[in-house]
Amino acid sequence: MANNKKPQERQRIVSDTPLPVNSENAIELKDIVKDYTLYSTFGDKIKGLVKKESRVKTFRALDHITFDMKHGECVGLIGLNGSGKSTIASIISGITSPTEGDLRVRGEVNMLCASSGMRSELTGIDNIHFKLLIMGYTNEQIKAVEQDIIDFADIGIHINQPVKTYSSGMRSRLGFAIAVHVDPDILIIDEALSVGDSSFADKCLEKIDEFKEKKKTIVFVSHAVTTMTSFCDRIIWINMGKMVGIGTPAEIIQPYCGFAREFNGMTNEERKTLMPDLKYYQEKYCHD
Amino acid sequence: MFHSIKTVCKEIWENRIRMFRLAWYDLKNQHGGTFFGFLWNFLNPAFQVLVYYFVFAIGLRRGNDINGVPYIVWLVVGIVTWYYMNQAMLGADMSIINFADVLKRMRFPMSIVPAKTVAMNLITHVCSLVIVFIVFIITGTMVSSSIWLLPYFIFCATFFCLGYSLCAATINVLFRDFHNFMNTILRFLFFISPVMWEPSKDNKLMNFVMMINPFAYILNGYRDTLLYGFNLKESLVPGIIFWAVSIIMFVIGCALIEKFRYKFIDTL
Repeated sequence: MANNKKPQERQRIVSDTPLPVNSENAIELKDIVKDYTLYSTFGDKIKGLVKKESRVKTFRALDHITFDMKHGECVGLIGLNGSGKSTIASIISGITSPTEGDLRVRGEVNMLCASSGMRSELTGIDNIHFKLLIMGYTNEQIKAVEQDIIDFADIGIHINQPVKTYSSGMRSRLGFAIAVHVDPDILIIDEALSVGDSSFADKCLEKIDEFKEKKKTIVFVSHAVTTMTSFCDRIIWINMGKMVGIGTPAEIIQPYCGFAREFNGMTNEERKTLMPDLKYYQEKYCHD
Repeated sequence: MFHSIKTVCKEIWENRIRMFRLAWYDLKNQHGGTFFGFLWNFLNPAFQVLVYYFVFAIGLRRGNDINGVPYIVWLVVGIVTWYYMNQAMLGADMSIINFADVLKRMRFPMSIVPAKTVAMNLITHVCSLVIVFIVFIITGTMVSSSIWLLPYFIFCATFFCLGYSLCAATINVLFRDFHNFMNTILRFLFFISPVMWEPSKDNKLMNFVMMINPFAYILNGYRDTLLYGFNLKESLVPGIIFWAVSIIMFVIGCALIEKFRYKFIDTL
């Protein structure tokens, strides 16, 4: 990757209480809580933004999440829709801030995002420039990676056509090709791999493998269970904003899949009061 | 307070080149698919000039020379200046909302977003000043010797729009009606600013309105530097009022954007 960004040691800390300094960890989350305000009226919206503690109804998206990630580790987040995986991803990436808790991130974070930052009236080439500019590239850096991106996206003559004429597959291929040309210390992949056909998906996985070989820290959010099993060192299972468990793929994936199947068969009433117990599902579904 | 001003200024300064390049692609995107493309930035004010010229000079027969300058030239300078500020301000209102897809998914300095809209309009404004000079040549109007002050007034207009854009973009996220509200207010301001008519100097109320109206300071400034010659004595008090208003707006804008920077993302 022709990127002349200097490796920089940067710390982002969202808290006053210091955590023990442990340089082995790239990411430290301690008791992270995220509340989203549920707005019913306009007044609530203002109250929720201005006051620190208001009587506005909130929804707890994350409830005391605590985990560490070592440098070069690949950790996967699984859970049903709305369980809070993406919220964790955007808190780590610094896009949104937690309501409570300590967060420490060592190194530059980048969230791999295929869909945003594209302008439909611009041509493919212009979109490459536009999105790289948003990602903070300088002119020289853009020139250096431009051809790589065009080759990776592999959309032929259409690269000079406006993106609005693209098929959705082409669009996400281009978006992914641009997004993947990053060189951060910590990479967050939030369901960005589910683009294009199988041959392109393989290409994407190869690219992620490259990141792994370079010992990048990777946070992987996905529903693709098999991909996660092969890529991740550890998996975190999240349900309704709470951590159910953390462990190797073998320890988590089977119980989670079993739980997901059971969940499908449940009534809405049963679902509401449910808090899965890792041990229970491990005993039920792990047969080694 | 000073911290927020420092952060915003630093962000804008460090990203100035990136901002203009992004603005350039925004312009391209805006005019993508239209036949005249970039030309629309000139065609719009040109048609506006024609309409007002028709109504005032031909319809109402009021198109006398204004202090020895042909009405059309006087009008062109006013419309081009007004068009810049009007477009920058109306575009800035929606800037953060329109950029939500990026802000929600990628890390991007938020104060650049409204500033980028102003930058985009600044590009077209500088281009349309070229058109103004063409009108000067066609009509044989002499440019005044104060023309070296023009960059200062372009800076004034830009700084005013920047301060406004920081405020407006944040307020508009919290209060979506703000855009429509400002649309109406700006239409009103158009009529109490000396864009298409010269205010009479005899009316006390009119003099007062012109003194406190920041648009009047800029419009008069452009006309003075291009047509009549700049007079420091006359524009000193309006100048002080203009800068006071602009700086207060900029400070409020910085404070707002700093306060809501992270809270925004959840409401966008």
